[in-house]
Amino acid sequence: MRFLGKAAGGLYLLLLYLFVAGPLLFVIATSFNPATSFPAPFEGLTLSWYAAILRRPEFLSAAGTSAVVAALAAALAVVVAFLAAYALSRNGSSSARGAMATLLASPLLVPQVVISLAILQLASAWGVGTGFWGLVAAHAVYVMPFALRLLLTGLARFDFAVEEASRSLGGGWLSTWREVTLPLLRPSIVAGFTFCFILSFVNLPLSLFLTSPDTATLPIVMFAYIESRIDPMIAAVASVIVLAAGTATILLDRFLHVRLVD
Amino acid sequence: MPLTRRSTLQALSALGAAGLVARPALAQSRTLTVSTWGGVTEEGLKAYVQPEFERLTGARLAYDIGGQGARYNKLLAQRANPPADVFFSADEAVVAGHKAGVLTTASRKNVPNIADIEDWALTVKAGTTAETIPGAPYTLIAYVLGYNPEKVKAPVTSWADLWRPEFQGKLAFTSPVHSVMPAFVIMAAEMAGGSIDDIDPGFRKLAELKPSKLTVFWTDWAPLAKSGDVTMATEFDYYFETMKDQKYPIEYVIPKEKGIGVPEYVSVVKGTRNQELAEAFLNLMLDPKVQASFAASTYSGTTSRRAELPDSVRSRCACGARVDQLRFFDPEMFATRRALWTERMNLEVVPSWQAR
Amino acid sequence: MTGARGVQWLLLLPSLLLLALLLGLPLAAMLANSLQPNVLLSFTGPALDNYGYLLSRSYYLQVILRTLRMAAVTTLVTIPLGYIAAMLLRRLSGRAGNLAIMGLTFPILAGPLTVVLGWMALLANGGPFLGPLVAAGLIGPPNLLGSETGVVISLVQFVLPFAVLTLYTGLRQIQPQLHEAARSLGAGSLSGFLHVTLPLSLPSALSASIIVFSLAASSFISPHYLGGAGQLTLTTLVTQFIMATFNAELAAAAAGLLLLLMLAAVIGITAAIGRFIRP
Repeated sequence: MRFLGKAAGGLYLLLLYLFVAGPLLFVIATSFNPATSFPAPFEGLTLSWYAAILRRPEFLSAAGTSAVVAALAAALAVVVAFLAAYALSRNGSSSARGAMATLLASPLLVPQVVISLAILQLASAWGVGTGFWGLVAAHAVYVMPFALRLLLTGLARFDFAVEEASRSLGGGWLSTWREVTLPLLRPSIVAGFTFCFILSFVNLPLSLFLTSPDTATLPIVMFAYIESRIDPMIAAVASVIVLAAGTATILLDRFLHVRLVD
Repeated sequence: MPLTRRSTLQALSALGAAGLVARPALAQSRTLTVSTWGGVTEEGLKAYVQPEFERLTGARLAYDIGGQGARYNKLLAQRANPPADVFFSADEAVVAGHKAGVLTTASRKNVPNIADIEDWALTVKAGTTAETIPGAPYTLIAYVLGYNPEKVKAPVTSWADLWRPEFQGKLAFTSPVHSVMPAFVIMAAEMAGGSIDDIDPGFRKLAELKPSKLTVFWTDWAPLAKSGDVTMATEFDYYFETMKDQKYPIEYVIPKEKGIGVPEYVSVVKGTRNQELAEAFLNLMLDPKVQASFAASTYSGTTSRRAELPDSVRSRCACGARVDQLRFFDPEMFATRRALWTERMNLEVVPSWQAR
Repeated sequence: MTGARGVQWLLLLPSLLLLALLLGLPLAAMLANSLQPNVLLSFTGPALDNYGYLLSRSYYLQVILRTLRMAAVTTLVTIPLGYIAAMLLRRLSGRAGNLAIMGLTFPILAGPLTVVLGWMALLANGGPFLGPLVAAGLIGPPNLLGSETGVVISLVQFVLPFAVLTLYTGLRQIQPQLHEAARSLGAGSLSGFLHVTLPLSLPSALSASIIVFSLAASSFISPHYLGGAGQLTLTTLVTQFIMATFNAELAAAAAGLLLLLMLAAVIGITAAIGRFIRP
């Protein structure tokens, strides 16, 4: 009975993972196929689509831009969201908390294409460029609600008496946060950062009007490419990202003990 | 003066400030930002235009890439401080851009190659004077009819074949937001006994189709051509040629009623601080050698009378005899009617397409 | 007490500032713009004509309904699927859990553009997945591409990892001692789940529902490529207005409608699940 339950659970997870990863695995498989059309039956094995990426430096630099933008946006979003979630959980009444949480989640409610264009229009009306930091800040605002949600959930089960205890033992605000609060909330903080990073890294609509030749992100470059070409090089780019992300995840865990979830 | 940390920092920041002040001026005079499509066009520019441009002017090229709609919105939003110096688009956007005041004319004197451009390519009339041109029509592409030769046996010759029962539910057809959509409204009206002044029959006629995919780019439907879900498609000739090279099962014909000719332009953005560099760029895009290289790598047609193409390329792009098989619509007319017609397509035609 | 209040506002300040600058101001400008005449509709602004126009056309009402229906179906399918997965995964050790979650997130990291290419092949009647089944006569041509079902399938696939991540994080924070306590008091595993785990996991279920609903309703790439111009949602409609006819005013009105509906949906979801959350 127990064994059957475990087997059923394993099968469920296997099917779920196949569903989530299936389309991507299929696309990645085509990146080793020399055929130029998509989707094509296998005609052999090749790495030429990977070599093709090296002849398109804009893909590599865009991937770098995206990683930097996503990391900065996620960091900014998590810090800001943590402060807000903390304030709301500690002091707010539950109705005030609900109202504020909804307000802070409002970026999710507006189509990003429109916000992207509106930011550009406003910035140029005021004679300021949006630039790199405008892009980062816009991404941060959009991903912040996700971090806020996770942190509010984490704080909902957080016992603030622990902080009182720490302070009554002579700990200051900062040291209480550093020694007590943050370690206890680590799972939500780490998951929030992961969430935000991913959402920023793959975001297209928000970046549509906010990028310039120097700040083109990977989705922008891929979207422009895919309008006039469809070949397995795009698949090769995806598989390189997956490889890089997988390596980074394992190395971070191994050497820095930083995990996607904790 | 002893060299303290502070004084060093001060000196450095002074240097930095000087650099910051001097750099924009230098950069502005030495970088031309090109607003263009990614993929094929960007690749062509980097391969055939950039080296020559840099040799001739000593300036650098930067690329702001994206779809025409997104890039045009960037121009509209940033009039005071334009995000690019030259803008790539189809002819209709040149008309709209001049009307909206985001594009400006170029001087004929600085674009001497314009003298060699075929008359049929000069579809934009606004901004055309003895001294000025509205932009440079650097290529011609043709919107035509394609089919899967493995599945389609009866010959395809006419736009009317789109309505053949065998293609309903297997048709990749022009999206209501495609640049050539107004041409289909007019042609469908003519087939149904109407005309450009009696356009209603056109919408009714289009509503009889049952497309399985509405497309803007060939990449929207290419996988479906491969899987057999699509057996007929409307598309630009140069994309059909690319598909043939990539071994998709596709053939195309120029319909007997004539295909749709679309000249593509590069024009100068109003408010640019690099008017002369921009004009030099336009001139280069009209250079016969540049056009021939572009045609050979992308199958988009040449517009210069002096462009020389090998027969293997000439037979595969919109130039020479093929031009006579094309119909050129007035981009001014498209620009004034597009908003209303797109709306009518969505409200009157798309609902019946959905009910397949 | 006033000190605590002051500190609270100070802590809220950065998020509110960021929100006001990059969302509030552009949003206000957008809403003001939505009251103006445009290439399609001429009237004397500011007035509500754009909203009236959109709400009086059955085609646009269908777009609005489709948007809400797709987001709702996606949420209803995703949350149970993700909950079961999170329940199964939470027993894993830290390192194994990390790898398991990484396995779920890499398809998102690779970017929706690539994944959608995969769906275009897998959902096609003649594609490598469905093609053999259709050819063998096992199923009729399902015509998933260009249909709402096709878009929902890909939306579920896109949001499922976010649901699992949220629920997994929530479930792991429930103290294992509580299960032990429930068991030692004689509760069976089902009643232990119903009385301990489920109520305690409701806050994360609520978060996951709102996240999933918002992601689905505001997604662009799946409806754009798999639904297309024949199955518009509010996001793809807004994009059409902006990109094809440069009608920022009508786009703003459509976005304003979406904002209202999403707000109502979020409040609705919060009320529905929130009733069961013990204070």
